[in-house]
Amino acid sequence: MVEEVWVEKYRPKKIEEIVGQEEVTKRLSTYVEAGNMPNMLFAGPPGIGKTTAALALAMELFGEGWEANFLELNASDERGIDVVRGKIKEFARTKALRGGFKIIFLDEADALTKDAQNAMRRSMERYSSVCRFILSCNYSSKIIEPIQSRCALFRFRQLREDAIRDRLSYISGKEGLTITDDAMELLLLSSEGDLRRAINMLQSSSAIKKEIDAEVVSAATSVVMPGEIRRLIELAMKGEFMESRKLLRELIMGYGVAGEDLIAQIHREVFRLSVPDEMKIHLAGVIGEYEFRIVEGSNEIIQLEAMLAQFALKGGK
Amino acid sequence: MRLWVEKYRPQRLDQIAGNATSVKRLQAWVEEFRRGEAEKKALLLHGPPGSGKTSAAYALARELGYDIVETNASDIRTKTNIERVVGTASKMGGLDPGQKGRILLVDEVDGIHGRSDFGGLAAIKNIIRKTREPIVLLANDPWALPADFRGLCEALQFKRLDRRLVLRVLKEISAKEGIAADEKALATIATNANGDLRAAINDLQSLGQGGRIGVEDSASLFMRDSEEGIFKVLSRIFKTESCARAREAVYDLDEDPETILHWLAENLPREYEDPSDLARGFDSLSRADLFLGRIKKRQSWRLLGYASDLMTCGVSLSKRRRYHRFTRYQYPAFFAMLARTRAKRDLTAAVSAKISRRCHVSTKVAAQEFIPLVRALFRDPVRAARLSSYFGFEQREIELFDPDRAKEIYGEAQKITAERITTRGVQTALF
Ligand SMILES: Nc1ncnc2c1ncn2[C@@H]1O[C@H](COP(=O)(O)OP(=O)(O)O)[C@@H](O)[C@H]1O
Ligand SMILES: Nc1ncnc2c1ncn2[C@@H]1O[C@H](COP(=O)(O)OP(=O)(O)O)[C@@H](O)[C@H]1O
Ligand SMILES: [Mg+2]
Repeated sequence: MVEEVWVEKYRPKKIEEIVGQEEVTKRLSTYVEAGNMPNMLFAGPPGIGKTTAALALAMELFGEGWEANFLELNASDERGIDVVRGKIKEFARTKALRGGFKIIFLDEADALTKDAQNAMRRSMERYSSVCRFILSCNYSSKIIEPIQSRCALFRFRQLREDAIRDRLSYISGKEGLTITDDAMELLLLSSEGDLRRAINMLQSSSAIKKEIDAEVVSAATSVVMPGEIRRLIELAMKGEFMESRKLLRELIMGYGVAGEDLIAQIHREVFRLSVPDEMKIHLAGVIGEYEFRIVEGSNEIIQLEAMLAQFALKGGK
Repeated sequence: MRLWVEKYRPQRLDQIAGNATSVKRLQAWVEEFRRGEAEKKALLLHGPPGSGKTSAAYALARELGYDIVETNASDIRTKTNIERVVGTASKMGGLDPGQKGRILLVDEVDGIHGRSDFGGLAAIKNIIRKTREPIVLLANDPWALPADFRGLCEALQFKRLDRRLVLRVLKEISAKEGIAADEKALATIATNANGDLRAAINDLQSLGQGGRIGVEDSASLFMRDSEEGIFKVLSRIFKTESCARAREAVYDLDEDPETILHWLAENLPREYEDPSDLARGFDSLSRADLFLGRIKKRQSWRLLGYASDLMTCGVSLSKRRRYHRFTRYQYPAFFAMLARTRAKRDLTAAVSAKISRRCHVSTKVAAQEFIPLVRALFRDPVRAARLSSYFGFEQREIELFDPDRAKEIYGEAQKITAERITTRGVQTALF
């Protein structure tokens, strides 16, 4: 099938095509040669090749028809450990078509609670003769000891800027895009080392124009019109809390923006305000604090409103 | 349409939820009466509405193969009427073997009022003294009855049903009716019913019309009935300067912390005018929300107390001055937003699930990173059709991205899909 989404189109199919993870890929290749593999734990930030490595490994080990031997689960989506275990059980029930074992890839394993991880560990033991497990996580420290000790640990490195730049240039070439230097810098900056995000932003930009400059990138990556964001900040800083809250709610309702995206844009916009630099850095600190709270907290609207109240306070002084 | 309270009325005694001891005593008493051993000739079954009193009486009669002679509040219950219906029945049967037994049921005795049901109670008293059939009287509030009347009866209490019990029944009915109901929503209905299973089942039926019940549905329901309660809580928290009083304010409010948090956030700026009071107040709410987030993610329910402290005492002590004037509190816009955007959120969830499968990411990442991408790519209708085929979007899912051209795009997408399947068919046939 023609891949419409570039992250898939340019997802390496072979282990050796994975960039910037030499230590990992060398070890994985030996498993392909041996035709066997241990249980594994892939750790590292998002968008650097963990899922890609698991998929490529399965393709190389099993060849054509590899899908039948590969089960992909995302811990943050499966409702509870019982569902996860149920699916594992169902999958492990039938014999592997080739290779003598099947692979279960559990993404975002660090989303599981300790209890759920313990249950996972029992599943791993129970099906050890038929299945190999690959667990993927952002932080290996969030995985319980007994699982860690049963898995070979693979630390995936944050991709270097060069690696991301090369990959983006490669894709741009294939897709017939031109891309200016400052557009590239902007992509690198806003993707924060996450190659998936970088590729997504590149493709979004390409939907606007084939000649990509910084302006195109910035338009493609703003979910909300920058003018609206500016109005939101200014209202709050004038002390018009109720008005700014109203606008906030409209933005969230109208555009369906996620809090994290909105806050990233607010961050960008603050540095374009005509206020003293000291105020800018102060606001940046506030924004950072609330981004953190959105991630950790339960309800982003409460957090965003609390942030506006901080803005109102700072602006009034 | 059939009312679920009737459809699911217990038919056997063992289907009565809760109140097991009282149910047993009810059965034993009727049997004692039959054997002529009952000390009192009437049983006064009292308890809150919807706890199963009427159902228990009927289920018992069914099990014993008895008839029920009933009067309830909808009948006119004057002296003459009572004598005619209950009185007549009370004189029959009893010792005649072979005759079908009876239970005389007087529902809502505490509703027999002096004026309109003139002499009604006195008539019942007389009948009790002479009856040959067991009389079961039902009441919500036994203390509304005269003491001498009560003296004639054995009192038996039905307790308010535990909310977990109510929840269990709600789950059973949802399952039988094939309703996809959010667990939290059911819990809210159960809480809100305050032990009245009839009310809970009625709410379930009215909310479940569409075949599913989400959290926001139940939230709206809850608000309807207990806004007064929440208003008091808000005003206590906002007005007091005492930590103890603020914390106490929520003790009686049986509502989940997230709901209270939204009420506080909605109304805080209406109350605290000073920007620094407002900022401090919101900071408390924000920190409370942090705890709620941790509770959700890690199931650390121990943290709930801290969230609650911040919401109550934290907010109260955030002000540096008092706000005396009356504030008109408002229903949290957040709930209305939820309800209005629900259709959209459902679509987003469905679309995210499809993207997540194709692109090997969680639905969260799909929603945050890929939906904006797809939206951008949809600008070109030809590409939109290819993408729709690629992800297997339905027409309504396409509407999320391009409501105006969804139909055409969907049509094109189907053509692409069909073509792909035939080419693949040819390929496999060749090999
Ligand atoms: N190391 C890499 N080499 C080549 N492409 C990569 C690499 N890491 C990420 N990508 C690109 O980003 C996309 C997402 O990467 P993925 O492996 O799913 O990340 P994660 O580490 O979050 O599992 C891939 O489809 C691929 O296009
Ligand atoms: N304890 C119970 N067990 C099962 N269903 C009950 C119970 N209590 C109430 N219900 C449900 O509520 C409806 C009304 O109950 P009912 O017995 O008439 O309550 P009461 O007489 O105590 O007011 C019943 O039809 C049934 O659906
Ligand atoms: Mg991944």
